[in-house]
Amino acid sequence: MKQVITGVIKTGRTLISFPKWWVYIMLAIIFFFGLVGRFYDLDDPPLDFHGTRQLHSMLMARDIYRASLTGEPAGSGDGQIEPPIMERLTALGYRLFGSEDLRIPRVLAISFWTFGAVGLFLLLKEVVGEQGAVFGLAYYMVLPYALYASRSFQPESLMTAAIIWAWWGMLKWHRHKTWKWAIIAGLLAGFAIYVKSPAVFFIATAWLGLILGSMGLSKALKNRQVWLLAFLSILPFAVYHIYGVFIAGFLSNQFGLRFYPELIKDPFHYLIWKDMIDRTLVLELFLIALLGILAIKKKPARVLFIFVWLGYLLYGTVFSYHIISHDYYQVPFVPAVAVGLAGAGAALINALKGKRAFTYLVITGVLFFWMSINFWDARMHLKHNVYKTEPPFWQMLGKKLEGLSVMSMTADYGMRLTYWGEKGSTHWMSTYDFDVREMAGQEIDREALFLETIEGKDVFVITEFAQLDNQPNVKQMLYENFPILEQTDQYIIFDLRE
Amino acid sequence: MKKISLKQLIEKSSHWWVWLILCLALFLGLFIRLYDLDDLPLDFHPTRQLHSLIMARGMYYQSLDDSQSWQREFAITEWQEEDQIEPPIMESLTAFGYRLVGQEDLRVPRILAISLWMIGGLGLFLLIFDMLGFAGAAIGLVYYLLMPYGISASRSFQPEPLMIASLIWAWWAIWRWKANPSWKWTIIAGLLTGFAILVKFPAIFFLLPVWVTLVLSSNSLIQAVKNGKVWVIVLFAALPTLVYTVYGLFIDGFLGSQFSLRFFPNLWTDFFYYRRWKDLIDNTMTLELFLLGALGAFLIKEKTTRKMVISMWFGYVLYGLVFAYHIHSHDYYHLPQIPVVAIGLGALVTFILDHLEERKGLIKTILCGLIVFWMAANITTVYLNLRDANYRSEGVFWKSLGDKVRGSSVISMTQDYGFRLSYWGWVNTTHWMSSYDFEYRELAGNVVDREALFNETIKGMDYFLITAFGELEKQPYVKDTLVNNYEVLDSSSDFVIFDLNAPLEEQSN
Repeated sequence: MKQVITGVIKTGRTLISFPKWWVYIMLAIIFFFGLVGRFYDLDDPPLDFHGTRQLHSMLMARDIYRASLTGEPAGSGDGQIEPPIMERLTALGYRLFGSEDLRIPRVLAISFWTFGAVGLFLLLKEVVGEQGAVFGLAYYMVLPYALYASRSFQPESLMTAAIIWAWWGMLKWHRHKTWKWAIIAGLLAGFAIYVKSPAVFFIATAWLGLILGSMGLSKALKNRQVWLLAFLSILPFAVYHIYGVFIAGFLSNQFGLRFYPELIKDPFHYLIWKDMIDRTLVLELFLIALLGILAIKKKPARVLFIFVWLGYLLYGTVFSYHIISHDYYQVPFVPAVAVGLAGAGAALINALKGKRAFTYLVITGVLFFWMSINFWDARMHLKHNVYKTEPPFWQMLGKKLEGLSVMSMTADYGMRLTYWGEKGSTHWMSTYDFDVREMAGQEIDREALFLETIEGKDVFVITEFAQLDNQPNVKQMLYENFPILEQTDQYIIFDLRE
Repeated sequence: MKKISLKQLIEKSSHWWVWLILCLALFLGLFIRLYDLDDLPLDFHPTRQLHSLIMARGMYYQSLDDSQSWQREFAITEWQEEDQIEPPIMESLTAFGYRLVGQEDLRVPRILAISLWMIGGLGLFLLIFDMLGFAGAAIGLVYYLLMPYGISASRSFQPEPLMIASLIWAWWAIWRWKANPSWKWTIIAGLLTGFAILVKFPAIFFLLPVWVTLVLSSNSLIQAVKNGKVWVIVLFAALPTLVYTVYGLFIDGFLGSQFSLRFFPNLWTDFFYYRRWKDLIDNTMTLELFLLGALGAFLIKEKTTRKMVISMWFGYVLYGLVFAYHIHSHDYYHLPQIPVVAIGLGALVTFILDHLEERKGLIKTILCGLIVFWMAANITTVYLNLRDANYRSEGVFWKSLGDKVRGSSVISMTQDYGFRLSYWGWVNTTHWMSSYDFEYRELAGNVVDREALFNETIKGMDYFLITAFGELEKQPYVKDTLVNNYEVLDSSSDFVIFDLNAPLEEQSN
């Protein structure tokens, strides 16, 4: 007979429960895979994940950085939707290190995601216990899609971390109900929404769930702390929004091409949404997580997260176009799925109490196998996708086009040329862009638009040959009317002056 | 082992939600398999299916006494030239089906495969029902019937649906034998095991460990050796395959060359082999469900059942190591593991349901909803894939191509080793190997001088027919030789025929 940690003792065989050190070992493994996977290939140009979105932030950060060097004000804020927190921090990093080192935004994004992991662990420890938390954290840190997304220079890492800490703050407030925690929780929630407004779908619903699951609506309305929470949650975004729309004006055009209610009636919309969930979050784990939410024993937390899931449904319905076309719109939901998996994991461990030690070994093995295989896949993916040749190519092209007025059909809306080639251009829309506009009800005469756009331009540079093939009218007009200034297998430059 | 009858168990656990998912799984599983039934069987491993189609056609034409046409002769010759590894049971049944319906109707082998998969489903349900109960059986069946890969594979004309059905029924009989080791069950279990191994030999990896585990869990080795029933089982299990192999190797000789290019132990030390194996697990069974199935096997309450299921997993690992090349290159080599994962998932859900402490009704309702969602999502995906993939024009195309070259000696670089042309075009060709085939042989240690082989192969041939243009690009020597030296007899966007009797130099002279 053996003395065991939890005191579950039976004659004849060793019965144990998960020992305390199991959690620490698993946490070490999770953070090892999660961090090594993320820091691998750190210096590759950030084109591995949504190049356009990252270039948008890179250009903003450079603009802020250069302005800070000359003392001039940074750009007008055109194209800005969210407050440029990541971009400002990156620019600060550039100043600290004295160069535009693209590893800085990567490290920042990874740090925020990891900071979110710490918050998630504290949250899950509170909600389902340490052992269950291991399952949720393993998903959050080693899910392949999340691994790629959290290396990306865009606000998602910060937003996701902020959402997690806001949830943590909510549960802390619920437990203590003090003014101190009301202020902390309110500020954390407000910050999350401020970072990127779609966070509201995961914050407002969480508040609603927590309040309904603990005190009820009528009691909540009479509670002054609740009013403070609501006020602090809304305030930062409200100030930013009013400033952006009514004072500075840079937000006034940012709400077009966002809402597509006709998609809600289209059954294929839901099918593609399902496919997107599968590609990013893994459908089966997503479904198990939903079940896991119901297995959470503490009612306030359970109701909170049921409402978060409802929030996701609402979020996907409101951003019906983005939820099926922009995979990173799934990113803020990663921690919610992690919470569900933690709930399921905790329920499993609870059911296992009194089982033989071997069963725990199997669970550990399964978890380890899943993490190691995902880590290795991610490593191989990053290893085989190399973008180091991109900057010199665009620099060379930029030099060629120096002093010319350029129209472009190049990767990422001409942003690669702008960033590395330091050459601005008027980008000719892709068929995808035309389609989006037509879907939103805009009517475009492509030929007239083309003729109007090339007026006064010196050259038309093309690196996207497939896109040129997709627009046969443009191709025909260019080949039939303008001489080729230069051509290689990577680009064609048409001379529009002749 | 506590024995409860099927009726009692159903009555005892007549939960509406289990009935709902069970009925839906059966309905959807059957519906999706029967959808698009008359499309040509090129949607899943066409080479493998065409191999069986050619054999079945030969058998069918042989039975047509009144047909003395060239087609009868051609069909029989083509059949006899096909390599045979497994006994052609599916092909014989299909030929029999053709006779029953009076024509070579390609829906016959599809229906046959689907029926066998469904019969396997019945066996799996009964097996898990006996092992774990009603809910576990329903969950296992949902996975078995509605995994997208399983749906596609179970419509395919190849021995796998029969092998898996017989494997499942053999497990069921073994389970019965364990509960009641009478002579009756000894004979039934032995015969079913023997049949499964006869259908396709790799079944042995999923049966032998189960037998060994069960026999040794209640007997010592010496006791087992002295047990007459064990000897009967061994005899019945081994005899059919032994007779078939002895006949195939030493009497008829058709099995003589079938054991080469099968074993690649050098892959065991290659990390990418395991990675690719994992990828195929993910593609066919979904990695996460596979892992949960493995976990479920360890959570089975009853010791003997647990050991039996774990031994199936052990068999799968051994099987993957022995067939190292096939397990990481042929996805259908994973099919026998589908019912094993199904049992594991059934066990996991049973375990969780047994340990629910609160909100049982709500959790079961949500679980039911999620399973229905999962089924609907899979069905829709497969439905759209089947709807969008249309192969009906293929038959017409190959027939017209066959008419162009019939009567001449032809080398082909066409899809599926020239089988499409042979089957629909009624033309036999010498197939020029793909780059994949060359690499495969090189991996096995064969040294091939491709250029010399090419020059030797085209000697005395009339035409070189190409429809696999991607493959032509991969073999620049072949492309250059043909384009620079021979006149094109006929071509379109789908094919090109080089006239090997009309060299370009002679033309210009």
